[in-house]
Amino acid sequence: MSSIATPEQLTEIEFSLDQPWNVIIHNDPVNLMSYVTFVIRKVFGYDDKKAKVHMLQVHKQGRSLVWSGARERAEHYVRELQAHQLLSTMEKAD
Amino acid sequence: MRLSLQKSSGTWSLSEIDEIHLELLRQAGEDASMTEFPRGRERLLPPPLSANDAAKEKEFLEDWKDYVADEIETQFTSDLATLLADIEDVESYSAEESGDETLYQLTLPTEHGERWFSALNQARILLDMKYKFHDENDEFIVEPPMEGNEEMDREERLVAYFRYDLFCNIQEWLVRNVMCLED
Repeated sequence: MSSIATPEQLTEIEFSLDQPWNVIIHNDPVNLMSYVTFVIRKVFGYDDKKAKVHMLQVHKQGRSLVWSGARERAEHYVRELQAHQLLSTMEKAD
Repeated sequence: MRLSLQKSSGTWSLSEIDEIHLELLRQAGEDASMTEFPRGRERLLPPPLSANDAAKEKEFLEDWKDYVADEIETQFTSDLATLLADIEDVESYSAEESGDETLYQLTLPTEHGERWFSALNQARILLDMKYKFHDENDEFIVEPPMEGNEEMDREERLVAYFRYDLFCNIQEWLVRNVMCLED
């Protein structure tokens, strides 16, 4: 009787999900509130209402977490915000 | 003194510019210069990471400085060059209602609106740092601050604030009227 060898080794696939990164806009005394709203809408595609909520958070609380996700995308957003002269950084989410 | 801003289809214009306003606009080039102003460069081209993460990411920060910051600086330089080139093309005219005073006007394409905003913003950010217009709570400082043992030149600071205010007014108009996004 012939037998067919059955593979006994199962491959384990590990999914390693990177820790998300937060993109933060910081307050500064020069950038106009209307401009901060404009940039948030332009960079993230948020509607006017959502952009204004973030702008007011920056203005009143000194910073606003505007986006969270993969590091590469966070780098792209910080680059865009800095190209519009908004003070911005990315940081690992807790 | 007055300055008129108007939006048309595909263009926007500044008119009724007098000699003083024209000179103030020309000074945006010098105001926006990061040369010999390392603190200003640090503000306009800051590191992308919070202090906590920066210590662990030295190689990334070096790459950012060499590639990303360099690219952004090139864009800022180009924006400023656009504004200065536009100003060089200013047209003069004689205004009867102003006693035949020579006035100037500029008509610019819509896409120059954002470049002008960027250039004027660079200038205002650096003016604010150089002349310390705001304290750590972002409150306006009326009295000139001390520089070492001496008070900052009051007149120079006042003229700088006049430019800061003019640039701010043009920017506010641009962001509301020219730099519009689709809803």
